[in-house]
Amino acid sequence: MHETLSRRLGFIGLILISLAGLIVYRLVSLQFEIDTAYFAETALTEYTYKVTSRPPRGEIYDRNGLLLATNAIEYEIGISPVLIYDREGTAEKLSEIMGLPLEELEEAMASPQQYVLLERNAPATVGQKILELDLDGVVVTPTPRRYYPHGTLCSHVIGFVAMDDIGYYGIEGYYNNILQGEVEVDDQSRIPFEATGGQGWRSGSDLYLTIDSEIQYLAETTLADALVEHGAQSGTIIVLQPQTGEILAMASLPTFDPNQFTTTDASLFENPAINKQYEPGSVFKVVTMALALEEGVVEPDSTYNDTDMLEVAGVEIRNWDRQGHGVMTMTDLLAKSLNVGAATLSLRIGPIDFYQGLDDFMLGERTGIDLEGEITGMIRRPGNENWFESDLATNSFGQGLAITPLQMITAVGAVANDGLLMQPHMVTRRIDPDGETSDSEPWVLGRAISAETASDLTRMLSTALRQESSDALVEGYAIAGKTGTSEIPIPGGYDPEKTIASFVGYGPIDNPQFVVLIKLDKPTSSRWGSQTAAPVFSQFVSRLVVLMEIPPDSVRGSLASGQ
Amino acid sequence: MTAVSQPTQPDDSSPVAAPAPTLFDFDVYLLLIVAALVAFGLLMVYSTTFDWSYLEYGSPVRIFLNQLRSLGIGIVGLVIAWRFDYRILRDRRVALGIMIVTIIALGTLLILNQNTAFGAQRSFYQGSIQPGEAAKLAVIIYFAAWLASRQDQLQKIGYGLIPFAILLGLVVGLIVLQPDLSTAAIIMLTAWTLFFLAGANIFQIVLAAGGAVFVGWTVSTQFDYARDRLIAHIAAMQDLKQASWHVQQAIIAFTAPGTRAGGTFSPNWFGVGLGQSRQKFGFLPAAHTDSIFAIIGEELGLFGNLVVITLFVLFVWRAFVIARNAQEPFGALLAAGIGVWVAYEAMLNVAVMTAVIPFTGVPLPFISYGGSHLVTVLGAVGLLMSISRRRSPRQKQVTDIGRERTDRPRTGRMDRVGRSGRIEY
Repeated sequence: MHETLSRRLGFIGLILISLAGLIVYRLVSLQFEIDTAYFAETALTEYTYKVTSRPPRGEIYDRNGLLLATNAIEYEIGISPVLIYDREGTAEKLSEIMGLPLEELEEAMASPQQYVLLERNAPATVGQKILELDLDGVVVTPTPRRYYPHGTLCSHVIGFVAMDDIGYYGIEGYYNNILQGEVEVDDQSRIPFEATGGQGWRSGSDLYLTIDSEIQYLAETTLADALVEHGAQSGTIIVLQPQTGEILAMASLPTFDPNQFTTTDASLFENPAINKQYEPGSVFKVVTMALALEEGVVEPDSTYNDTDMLEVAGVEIRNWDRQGHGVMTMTDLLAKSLNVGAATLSLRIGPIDFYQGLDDFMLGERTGIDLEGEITGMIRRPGNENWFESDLATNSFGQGLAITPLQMITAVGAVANDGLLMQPHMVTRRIDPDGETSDSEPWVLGRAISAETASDLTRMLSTALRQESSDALVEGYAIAGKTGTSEIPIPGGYDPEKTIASFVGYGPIDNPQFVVLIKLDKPTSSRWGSQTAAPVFSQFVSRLVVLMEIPPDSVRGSLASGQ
Repeated sequence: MTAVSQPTQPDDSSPVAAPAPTLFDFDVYLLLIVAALVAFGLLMVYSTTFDWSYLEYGSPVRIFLNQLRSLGIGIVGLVIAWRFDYRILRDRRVALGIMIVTIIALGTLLILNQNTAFGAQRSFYQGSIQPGEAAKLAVIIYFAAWLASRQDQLQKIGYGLIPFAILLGLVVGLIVLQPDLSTAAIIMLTAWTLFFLAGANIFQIVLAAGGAVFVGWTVSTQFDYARDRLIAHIAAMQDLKQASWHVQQAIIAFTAPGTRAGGTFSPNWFGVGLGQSRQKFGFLPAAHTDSIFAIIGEELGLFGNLVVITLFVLFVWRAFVIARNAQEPFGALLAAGIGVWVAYEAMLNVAVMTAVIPFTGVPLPFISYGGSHLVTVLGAVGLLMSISRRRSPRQKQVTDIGRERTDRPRTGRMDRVGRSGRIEY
């Protein structure tokens, strides 16, 4: 037996040693055969992971330095049960600080899991107390959160920052990259003891808005009262500084609290001042008159014969009172808000010059304001499939076209600013983290009308208001303005009852400091802008001049003459 | 080395073989080789476990201490096996008893154990005891005894092959049902080798091998996981980029210096340095058990791998020498069986890691973390030591003198004898 065994053992040994040789060959050849680059890549992607370091987001202030948006720290608090040696002591301390029942904590500590989350959004005070105790196995992770100290104030302008740390709507959305700073994505190693990438981020810049919080607050409260008083569903107030294009206030209701954006109806996030089209109605006659004067088809003291009906390409144009008013001056036309008159003007101007004129006012286009979510208007022109000759007539009094409230006030602002169209904007100053400050300069978009036309029109608008003893008049201040009552398009025509009442005015007329747009949607106290939006304008401006420290005309006149 | 200077060694010139019982009357080289393997294993087990041991238990040595405890138990087993006369295992009742206990343990495991880690039930007491490991040794003992007692009748096909196949089938079947195909395969291979060594004729051997391959193929394609691995392997043979994740991780370990240098090729002669592996931090699965050879490659390079392979070659060589010098057939078959078992297991492990054969989990003997395995294999070493104490006293009477002589210089004890000038080829 031994003989066979020896022989066969030798044979097996030979086989084994050859197999071992093959394995050694394989081990060596492996080094030369493989695609080293591929496996290097595979290994690297496994060894490292991306860490996004988010620098502190820039803060947002109003023009006077009032803090509107800032960063708060919350803490995520959790435990790694296996790392806790003094379970009772730890549970007692945590229970005391966090106000959690002791049983819950003990249960968490008995968990076999590596990490047990106790609270996701603990307030800063709680988190810091626990951090100071430096307890073994207790993990406190700071989580930054955007905080808006004034809640709903200015929320449509500011927007909000969502869970993904990206800003949405308004300033937060438009300036997201600037506010966010440089988000650095680092490669971090999963290998213990190995150094990881650096943390070279740059924090975000702070922004100062053109908004004056006091005017904004006044606008919001005035609007809220107006909605109640006139039974309107919603509304907008915009205050523009005509010489600079700065928006001093932009308020719309209903609004939302950006601190609670998660529980807010998403339709409220959109800013109606830049995001909702409406037919401007008679306010648009300001533009039509401006173009008529600019084109020279009429003079300020021209007259025309107002009839009860004007037929244009088969469409009947009638006045609001369905009456003909006879021979009327241009100022009468504005004062009585005569549609027949406006249509007469636009027909005389002619389609080419009329629509070219609207372009000069940049109506229907985005104003380019630095807010996220601005939309264009909708103005049909000759050559468009849907444009009819009658549109030239109806457009003249703001029907058959749709623009945003901001486009309307920007155009009127040009009239208030000697015919120069200013870029409306929201940010007045930017401070970079390195302390570098850049101020925004007023920016002329173009000339809409001549200075002469502008001053003529201002005088006419002012006279017209006084002539009608409008509710918009403000005691002690000469203002110019125009009411508007626009019908609301519904499928197949216009809503028979509901209207949008608006008023756009500016003053003081000798040196306009503000342009104010008041817009009330579907008021129930009256359908007319002259009875709803106009008195709100008066009410608002009488307080606005106080906030803006604009002395009454008489005082300014005596100051001027005194010099 | 005091062993070789013992004056009690049998001398060729003297027919009298009277080994006096001394402490070093066994194959000392074997023990040195095993000591080297175990020490190397401990080093690598600590290197691969300190990190997750700390994360998991708060102590970097917790897992290492487990292995030390297993080593302690294994050493006790080794000493017992060494000091006892292995021939009591030849007794049919003892061998059968061991076999029955093994079968009962495996059967009970199938019925009772709900521990389904990695989809298989391989252990008692939440992984503390794996009877599959002990079963390998039990099968070797039983078949060595069985074959030794029947060697004259082995040539008779019906008498030899069929009962052998039935007994083997029972044990292997129970292990396959766990399912643990790699252990089953090792037992089959070892048993087949023993059958061959015991003197089965070539026809029987080929028939057994053919039958085993057929059964193995049928069984492994019955298990989804085995079939998936087979398919994955065929893809990986053509392109290592197609290999399973586990194999790709092993490749990254084996070629660590090159892959770390950003893909510029650089042969892995000496590795990245002891303790410097990256793959062990959760990337290469089972880094401390089945995949430990790849970590050795990563940290110590081809050099480290070759040292380990050399130690295994030396171990198997010593086991074969002990088998050849054994006093009687049972001891010879037992020693040879242990030798080929360790050889197959080590080769299977390395072949898997280098993507030569489809993936399967096999520990690397002496080195991988794992109590049952270490204790069993150290017990087997004790048996080898016990066999080596009782060498054939009549070696020189072996008729084939030339063959015997060529063997002698290779054995520790014969070395001194060889110097007497008797070596001639």
